[in-house]
Amino acid sequence: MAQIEQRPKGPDRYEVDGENIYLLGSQCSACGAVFYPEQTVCGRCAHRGSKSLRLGPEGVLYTWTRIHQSTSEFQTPYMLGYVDFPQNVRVLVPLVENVEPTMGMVLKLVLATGPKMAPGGEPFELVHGAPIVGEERQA
Amino acid sequence: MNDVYVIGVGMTAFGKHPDRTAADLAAEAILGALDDAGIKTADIEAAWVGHVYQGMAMGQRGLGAAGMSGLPITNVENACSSGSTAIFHAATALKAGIYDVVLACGVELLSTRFRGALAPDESDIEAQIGLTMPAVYAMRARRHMEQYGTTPRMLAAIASKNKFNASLNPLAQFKKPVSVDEVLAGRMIADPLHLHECAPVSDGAAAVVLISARKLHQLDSSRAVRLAASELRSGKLEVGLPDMTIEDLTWRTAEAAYQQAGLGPEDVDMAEVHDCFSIAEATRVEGLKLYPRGEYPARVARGEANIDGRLPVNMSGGLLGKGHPLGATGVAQVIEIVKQLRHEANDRQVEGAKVGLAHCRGGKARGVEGTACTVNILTL
Repeated sequence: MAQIEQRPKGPDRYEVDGENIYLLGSQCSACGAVFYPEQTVCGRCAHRGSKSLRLGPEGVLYTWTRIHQSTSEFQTPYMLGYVDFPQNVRVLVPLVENVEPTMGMVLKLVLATGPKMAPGGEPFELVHGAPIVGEERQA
Repeated sequence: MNDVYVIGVGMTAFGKHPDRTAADLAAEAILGALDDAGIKTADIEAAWVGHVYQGMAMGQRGLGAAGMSGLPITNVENACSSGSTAIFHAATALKAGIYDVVLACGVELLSTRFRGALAPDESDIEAQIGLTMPAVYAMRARRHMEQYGTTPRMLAAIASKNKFNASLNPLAQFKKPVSVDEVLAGRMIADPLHLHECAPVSDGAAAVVLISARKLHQLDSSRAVRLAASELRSGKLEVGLPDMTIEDLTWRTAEAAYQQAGLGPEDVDMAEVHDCFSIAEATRVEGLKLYPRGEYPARVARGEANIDGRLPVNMSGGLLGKGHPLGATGVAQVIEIVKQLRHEANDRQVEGAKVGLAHCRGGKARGVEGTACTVNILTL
């Protein structure tokens, strides 16, 4: 098994497993509802107790935007999109800049820096969505 | 349950007031509402004051500036629905028979605190990767376009309508009409939403005096408007892959309000709706079931939601035209409906309207569709 590295802090929760990146969510032990980030008490059935669940390494772009005006912490423009994962949960991720997004585009999770922080801010590495060009599914 | 009436309304001009304090703005609105009601400060038995970013004891500061102290005062924070949540709690206390005359106020002084885009709380995991409020709605807009064939021009028509209505409202932040082409020529804030499709940074305050039916009978009641329903709900934690064009929160709140009022969407003659962004007016009006799902932007482009249209929406200019001082917004929406039902809306008057609805919802927290939503229904 490839080395698994769990990020200790930062806004996103993920694991690196060989070539693949997975976001770390949770699944309710009783009803199976999936949440990101992890949620100990289920938002659907109120059961107390969940297990960790990997999300990814691919998902489908549900919707996206390019942000031209943001808070003082971020340099614009940058792109964000909601990605639907096969584990039946939707997560917001930054999108890499090299391809124009399309609805239903298949994305692979990658590590990249950004969105860029304002001058003086410290840029950090985040899980991004990167298009797998030519693949499309119904979102 | 006791019936509740609005007997007095007051609000400041919305816009930029960097030289004033939030307490001063609140006091102007409160005293205006008391004068409109024809009652004295000592008649108010309890007050609720909504705001988002004004710090500790906003209500006590605002009422104090209006010469009022010692009464029960409750500060309310519920994102953009803070002011209308204040109304909900004030109305609930009247219905329960605890008080007979109460005050609900909303206030915000944002221009000295904010530039750029509003975002969810800094502890929110989505805000930490750069999510802003315009981005939330831009992504909903893109889904609406994908699923229903909505175009940027149709969304721009919503903004243009509200800027025009604002030009008829002396208390609105924006005084000049903006054409659809001008909206589309504006700079992009979050693709596909342009500058004029996003609510501005605003300062202002608004207040209403609510009264019980039993007390109303002792006074001159000719200008009282009945608050037939006041409901509050919060967004549910989302599970799975919900359709982002459907406002479950808006419908659940509206359904409760329609039931409380004994009315349905077909009975509503006009609405003030939380148009923090052009697309927001669409998904909200559709969520209230005032227009069929997916069709609202096209119908706005055809004029159906104009003041003289089939079912007018945001006669006041809405948040896009009148301005959006967060805490004050929900109260100002109710004030517009009251003015309309009293036939005091001057150039914005909707003729023959008997039932008006005010919808306010706002905020974003990860995992829920929306944070707080209110629906108030007012009738003659």
